[in-house]
Amino acid sequence: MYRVSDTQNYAFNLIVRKYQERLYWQIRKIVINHDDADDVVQNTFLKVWGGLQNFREDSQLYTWLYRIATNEALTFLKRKKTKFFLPLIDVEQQLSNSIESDPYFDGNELQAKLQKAIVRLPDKQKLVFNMKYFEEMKYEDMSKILGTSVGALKASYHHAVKKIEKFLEED
Amino acid sequence: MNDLEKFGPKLTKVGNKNPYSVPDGYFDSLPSRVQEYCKEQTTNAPQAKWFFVLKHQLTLAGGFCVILLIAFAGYHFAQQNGKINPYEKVDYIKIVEESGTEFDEVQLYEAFTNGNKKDTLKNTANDELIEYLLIDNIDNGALLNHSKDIKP
Repeated sequence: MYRVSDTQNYAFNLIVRKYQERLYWQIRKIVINHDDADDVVQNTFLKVWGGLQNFREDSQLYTWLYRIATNEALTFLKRKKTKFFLPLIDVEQQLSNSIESDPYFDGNELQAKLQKAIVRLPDKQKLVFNMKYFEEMKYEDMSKILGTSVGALKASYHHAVKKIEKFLEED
Repeated sequence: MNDLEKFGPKLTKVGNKNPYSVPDGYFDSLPSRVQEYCKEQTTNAPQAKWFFVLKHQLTLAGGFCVILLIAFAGYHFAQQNGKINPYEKVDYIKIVEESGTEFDEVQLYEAFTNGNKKDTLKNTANDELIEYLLIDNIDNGALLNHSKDIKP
């Protein structure tokens, strides 16, 4: 349906309505800020719109969408880091500081601390932790999205939990 | 979560509730905004300006021109240095202008010394000079070598 030009618009609209929330939250947990997440989700769907005709159905649609969303979010963060030529601005520190002052953050102190710990994780561990802890995704599904083996994902998750525990123990 | 209780006891206390929120009606308006955005981006796709298309070729051509310019400047400079400078000394020009039959060693000597250099011949009379040259069989070549030895 999405390959035929007549119905492509309609199909795309359906895809957006069905997956917008899941993709948005996946992105939001990476970029933290709502406005940034809004920009990234729109760029994600723009990429989806452009690649829909060539989608080969080797993987499930959602896996493909999730992969695009994840890459767009990580690229956004990388661009933010390299925007400033010198590493004078710590982007992770900025994100960490913005959590509590964010008008769209409704969590308590402990949840804020958890989010600050997640921001500090390396990208892969951050993704794995968010998918496993918040979305309770199966490792097999995660493996299809991230293209990493189940064993490696389990190890990533274990390391992420240890680091977060250590951070939560600090004052 | 059972594994988490074992390895992350503090984490289990936090819970996995999503602490973030969105503005009211955000997801209701998102599909239409996405559609608008996609339409806008595809219709206003930036036309590749000719400059950006030919950027590499222009860079190559520019580099080639610079090399040519440097080569031409080097050649021109070398040619300038190789040229014989116009004679400044009027005396030397006088030598060229004089014909061979009218020219004598006295004139040659005066031309090279230009009358400014101190030498013993300055105060010598012409007759004595001619006699000196004839007797000692001094020719132009000898005079030229002699003039080089005379210091100002």
